[in-house]
Amino acid sequence: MPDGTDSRIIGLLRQNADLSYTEMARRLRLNESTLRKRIIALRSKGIIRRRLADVNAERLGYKSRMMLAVDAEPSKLLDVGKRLAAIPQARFVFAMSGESDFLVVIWTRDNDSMAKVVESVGVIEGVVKVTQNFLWDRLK
Amino acid sequence: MDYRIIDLLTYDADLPYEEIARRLGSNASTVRKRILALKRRGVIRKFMVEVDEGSLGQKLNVSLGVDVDPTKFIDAAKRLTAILEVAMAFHTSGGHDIFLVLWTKDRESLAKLVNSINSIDGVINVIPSFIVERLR
Repeated sequence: MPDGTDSRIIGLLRQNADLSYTEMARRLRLNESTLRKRIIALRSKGIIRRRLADVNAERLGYKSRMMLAVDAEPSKLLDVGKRLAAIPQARFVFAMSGESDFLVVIWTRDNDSMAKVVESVGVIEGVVKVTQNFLWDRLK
Repeated sequence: MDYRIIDLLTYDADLPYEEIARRLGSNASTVRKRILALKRRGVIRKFMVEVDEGSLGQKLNVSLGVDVDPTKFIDAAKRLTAILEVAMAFHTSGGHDIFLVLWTKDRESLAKLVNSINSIDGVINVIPSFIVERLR
């Protein structure tokens, strides 16, 4: 089970996994070789699964970004979830319980392509409501 | 080609240049140069890690819709993203101003977290929903 030091290491890596061991050790006030060993252990235990690039969608040319809140008929939840997860432009799809049934993050090059994706979500059998939230940016 | 590099890196940034080059039918030095250029241009902002939250004892996956006073947005957003348990944060308009995805141990720690978020200067309202599963 990871301890407090591991949690601090994970907390920093979640914000920025592109720092050198020296810089991380300085920020966490840890010995560099201790830090290195701990990170290797966290990875080999599968606690740290993988490293991902955080991309600025706008600079990449995805000018239109939305977070759709989707409601579905209870009897169609599983099918709707599968169809949403299969949308190629979907970056994240969460099945929820609370305000809405699904949250779907969509990136497209322009507003026309976004409108088409939103329409295609609207016509999925079992979808009863699609609320469009403009997505400015990912903050973390 | 940049798009294809980024597609690979947003799922696994640990791929060696050689492997990316092999999958894209290119060579490692071209891939390396392109990645450096993408970082310089700010297209790749930084690298993050994905964590197996269950192994940390974090059992509840929750999304919070947060409404924020627009005059205090920047400071409130900084404080929200600095919270250790917050895995993702999105700035949106429509339903809520900020959506947070976070992991917590149990109902009690969730209640504490929601209370502390509620008391951040500028935060007007917090609506929690449970994340049943991440489908993609």
